[in-house]
Amino acid sequence: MKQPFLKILLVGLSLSCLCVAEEFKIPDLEKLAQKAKETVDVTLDQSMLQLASGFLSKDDPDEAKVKKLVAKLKGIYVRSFEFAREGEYSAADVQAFRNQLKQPGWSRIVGVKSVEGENTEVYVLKNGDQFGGLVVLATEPKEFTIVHIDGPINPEDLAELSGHMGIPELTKPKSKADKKEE
Amino acid sequence: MTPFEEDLKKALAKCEPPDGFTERLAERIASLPARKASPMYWRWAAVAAAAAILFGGVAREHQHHLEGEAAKEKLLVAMRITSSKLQQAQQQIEEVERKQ
Repeated sequence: MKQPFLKILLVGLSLSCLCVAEEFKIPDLEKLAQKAKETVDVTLDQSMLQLASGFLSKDDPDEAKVKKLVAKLKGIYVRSFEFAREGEYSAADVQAFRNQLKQPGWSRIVGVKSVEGENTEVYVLKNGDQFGGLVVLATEPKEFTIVHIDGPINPEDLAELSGHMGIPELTKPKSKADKKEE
Repeated sequence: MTPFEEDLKKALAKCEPPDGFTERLAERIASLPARKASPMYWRWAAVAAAAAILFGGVAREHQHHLEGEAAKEKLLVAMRITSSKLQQAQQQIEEVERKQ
């Protein structure tokens, strides 16, 4: 009698651990906001996204693309801080996010470090064949940005929006054939 | 006098009311609710209530519109920041590839 019960308990616990592990939450960053010269704080949960989506025109091709992109999303969260001086945020502040992203399901697909101290990391939550979420962690000596897109997202859809509505243009990565031609 | 005239005379003949008829009638009249003319303030109150409902509806719609526009603007800001950071990463990757 005890063994089946224990099995069920263990399976239940492991499943609940997996579910909790996949959650990514941006903590309260009020301390950084107080030091920052400029702060961008965007919190759009599902209901706010639906509200925003209702104000995007179906007839405008650019707005229609955004509407389609956000239709399945659960939330978009952005925190961006620009500081007057270097060293206003610590490595531990950044590491706290990385630690959260070490949880099962999350994978780092891009990690770039530059000599100037401009570092960008892109993490995705794998959900079967598609991505169930995206986190962009970008740091510069005087800037700290974290973006969390919660829900099914395809980075290619984001690329489609580039160059429109004030969204910076993302150039398509050059293939090996293109490079040879150059 | 014809029979018809006789009937008419009987019908129109003066007769005394039953006892207490006057008192009962007076009591009944006193017990009836007094009918007052509709005062003007009730009409104004109705107009004011209708205006308040209408104004409330318009104000709520306006508030919803403002919230929606603000949410849309926030969404576009989020998209711009996300894309600019992805673009930054892409440029850094291209630079590394170029150096190699």
